[in-house]
Amino acid sequence: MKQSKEEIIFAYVGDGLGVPGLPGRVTMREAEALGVADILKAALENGNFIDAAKVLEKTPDKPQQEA
Amino acid sequence: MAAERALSKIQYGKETISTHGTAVAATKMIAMGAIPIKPDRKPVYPPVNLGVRARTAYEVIYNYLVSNTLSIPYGYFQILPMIFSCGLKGNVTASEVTPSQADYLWAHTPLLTGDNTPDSVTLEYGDDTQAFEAEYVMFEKIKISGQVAQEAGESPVAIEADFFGRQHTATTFTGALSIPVCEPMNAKLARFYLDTAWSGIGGTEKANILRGFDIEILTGLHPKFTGSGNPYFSVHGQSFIDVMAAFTLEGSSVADAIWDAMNAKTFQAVRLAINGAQIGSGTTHNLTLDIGGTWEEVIPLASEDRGNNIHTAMLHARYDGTGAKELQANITTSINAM
Repeated sequence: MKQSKEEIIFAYVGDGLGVPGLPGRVTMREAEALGVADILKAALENGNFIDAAKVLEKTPDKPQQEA
Repeated sequence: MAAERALSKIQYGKETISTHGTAVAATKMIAMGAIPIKPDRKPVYPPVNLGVRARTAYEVIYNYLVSNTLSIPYGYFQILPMIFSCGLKGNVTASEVTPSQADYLWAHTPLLTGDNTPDSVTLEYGDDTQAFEAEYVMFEKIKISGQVAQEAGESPVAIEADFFGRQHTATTFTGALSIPVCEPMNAKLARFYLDTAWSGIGGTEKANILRGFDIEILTGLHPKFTGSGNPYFSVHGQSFIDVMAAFTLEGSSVADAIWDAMNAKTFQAVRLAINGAQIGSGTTHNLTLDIGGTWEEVIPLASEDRGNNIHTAMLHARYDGTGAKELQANITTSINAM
């Protein structure tokens, strides 16, 4: 069954401690419910969040430094 | 929600060196408290006599200049490359010290005879009601200070950086930036080295003596106002680099030797190294400041703490012809982009 756009899980892949207001993994539907859909859209635009299914492809070859 | 301190923030984006002053979107947040946003323009009221009991009926604004201080009382290593790039030495490419461990060395030692190509940033600051943007931001003074707590209290290293910028423009924040990773700087982990030549810098640690430090670097960077089509400055200038380093030292024979060195005008090569946690399995976060100069003012018995005499010593940096140096600044931290 095809996943609806609203149900795609996006994951944080930035180099910090997350984006203020956004859970580390979130769907657009959840973001809308939390009132942070605009932030998620901006985070998708600047690359801090990507489709969780692509996270493995983007995993850097450097080890994670700080928790 | 309106004008909440909790929703205030400061963030920045690195400008392109060839186009200083062209505002860019922010890419990083700064982990610090909000600062007052001081006006970038000041009206002048020309006094005139117009047959009324009022001094003037006019006001003029001649130019714009942002002038303020980034005050980070709980300093952290990852902010240092930005401040030093826009203050001491810019266009620095960080190099990884240990392969694949992301422990990046930033060499910010300024050239004393050449162009230091300082970077500039666009700052965004404000709250949930209004954000302001200031472009062409550079640092004219960098102060790094810390006191080692004696009663198991906090020993943060404070960073204060005075900056200038072109103008304030009302804007909206660049959204969804990451909360920065911060490795705190701890004054308790600061180490003091004292030698008599640049060739021996960092060779002799003076243990059990350092209680506090206050390093002030005047970068020499300044805005230049020249006639143009705009009320803001067009370019920046580089100038003399001055460093004063004040130390609070435990009274001892080592501290007394510093008094002797002041009297004899003995050249001193001082290293202050502040270490942090290890980065991966590589090197540790680190700020190393090497300063060459002579002691300008040493005050033995300046104060007392629980029966211990405390000395203060102020090092005045100067050029040393033998080492051909005045100041070295190196940072190791976990970021490779400012």
